[in-house]
Amino acid sequence: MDSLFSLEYLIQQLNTKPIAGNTRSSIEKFLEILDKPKINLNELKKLSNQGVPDDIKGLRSLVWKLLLGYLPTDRTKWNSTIKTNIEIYEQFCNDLIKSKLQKQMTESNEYEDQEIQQSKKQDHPLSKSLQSIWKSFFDDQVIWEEVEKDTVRTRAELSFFVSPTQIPNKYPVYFRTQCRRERRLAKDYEHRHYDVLTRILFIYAKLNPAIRYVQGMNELLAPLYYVFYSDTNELFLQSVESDAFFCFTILMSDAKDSFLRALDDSQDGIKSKMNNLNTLLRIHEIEIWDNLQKQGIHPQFYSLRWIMLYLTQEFELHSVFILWDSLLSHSNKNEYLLFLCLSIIKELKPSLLQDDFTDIMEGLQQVGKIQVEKILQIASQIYQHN
Amino acid sequence: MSLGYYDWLVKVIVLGDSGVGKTNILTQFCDSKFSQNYTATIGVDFKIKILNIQDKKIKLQIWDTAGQERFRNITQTYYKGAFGIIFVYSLIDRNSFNNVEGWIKSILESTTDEVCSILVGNKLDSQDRRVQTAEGEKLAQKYNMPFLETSALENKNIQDIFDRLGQNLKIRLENEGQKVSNNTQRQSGQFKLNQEANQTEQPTSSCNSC
Repeated sequence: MDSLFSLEYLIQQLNTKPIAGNTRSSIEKFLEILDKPKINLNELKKLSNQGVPDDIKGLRSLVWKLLLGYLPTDRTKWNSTIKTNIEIYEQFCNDLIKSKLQKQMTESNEYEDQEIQQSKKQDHPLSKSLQSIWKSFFDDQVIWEEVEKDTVRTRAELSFFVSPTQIPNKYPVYFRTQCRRERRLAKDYEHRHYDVLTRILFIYAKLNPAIRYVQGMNELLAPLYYVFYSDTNELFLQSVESDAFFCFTILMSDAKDSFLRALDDSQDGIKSKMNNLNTLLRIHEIEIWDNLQKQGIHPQFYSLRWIMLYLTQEFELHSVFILWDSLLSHSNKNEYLLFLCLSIIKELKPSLLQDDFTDIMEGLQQVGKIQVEKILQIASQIYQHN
Repeated sequence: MSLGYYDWLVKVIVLGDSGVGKTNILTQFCDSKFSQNYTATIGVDFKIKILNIQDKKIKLQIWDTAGQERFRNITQTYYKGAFGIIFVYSLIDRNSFNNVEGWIKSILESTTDEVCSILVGNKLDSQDRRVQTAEGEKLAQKYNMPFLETSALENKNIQDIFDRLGQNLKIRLENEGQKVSNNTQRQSGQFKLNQEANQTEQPTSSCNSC
């Protein structure tokens, strides 16, 4: 492995692709910032806050990795960072997925001490002993199945996640889940994108037992994975999975409080975030706030999903990218997120002043028609004022 | 989008484990659509449908909830004011059946005993059945609610869920002389008699299919 991330790849595209003038100069600005030995993150944030051009593959992916702090600002360290993380991730997979059961039950080790050999003999699939390898296998299977139930239906509007991936299938899975049973019956042995999502989320769940897996985490992982995979460069393919895993982990450090049930009633939990949005609404749009109050529309009726999933489920994927370009450019993502939500509500104003509970609820549940550029525009105005 | 005239407005919630097909049942019923894979419901989704039961129109305000345990704490706020409840499990997921009783108990704690419920075993289309019909029947009997096995995929017995539920709702509402309005529901969280029925929208016969 020589260079796992080359800027030349981006520059080459700019030189060979027909790209319109405005976009071209925007891309050039990005490359100017990126093409320095030490990248000025603040400059990058200012630029990416307006959106990252899609016209050359790999730009958004690189920018997001920098914004998240996954790649260091010192460009000379990118290669070793990516390489090290591939190795760490592989180690996780080896330790946590490559069936312990298979490894330990079948490969008997002649140097193993008597005690372990004895405990293996006593172990069996129905054992409830905490040391039982069988029990831990079945516990893991429960997590895997729970995750897989959701990954298989990630962004179902696209066929992308159910289609085959070029990422090599290095970790055979021995869990017997409903989904895997059906696939075996259909003789489907492909390695698919959602299999990669499942693996990443499973590893995350095993490493973070306090959070484990909560529904919706797949929605936060999906944009990262999609953007990284879409770089379509053989060089990058090696690290898509580990990059996505680590970037997801970093993103979750900001997002996880909403997922933790134990924090529901604390000031960091999802309930208090929804309340904060409601307070913002009262300050900025008393008229709307009044009417929602009057109609009995509580913030948790609409804003839970917005906040918890960083708006991913409300918009089509490409719009999510644009929202996230801006969201990831902010140091306090959770705070800025509330302003994005507020901007959505502001944009819906006329329909939120009506006198019908149903109409208002339906409007709030289908905000995907709003132009994301408009949302960003409103958000940048009100956020600066605060 | 208003759906025109109705006699009663009733809040219905749909409960059950993750992946049993709650969203699919609702989408089939409300929009006549089926998709193999709906994204997991986070928090709550909201749908509206007018149900015709004999000469009456019941406007159903249906709340589709997240199935995962983590969300129960939060989704309980949505239970308030519910008058109809659909409990769903999957015929091919034994655990989802085992958990139904937990769902029933959780709701009985937070609503009045006036609710109309129905038990639904979904995914009748699958060959891989893990729960027998008799087991579902027995559970439904225990809690004194109707029982149906359905397939959202093949649109089998889906309308029946709402017809059965609707008939019971109608009987209950008529017996108690209740006219349920959105207002009373919001103010008290209960369905009390609302003498001044506030359905001011024009009566229309063209909304049968809406």
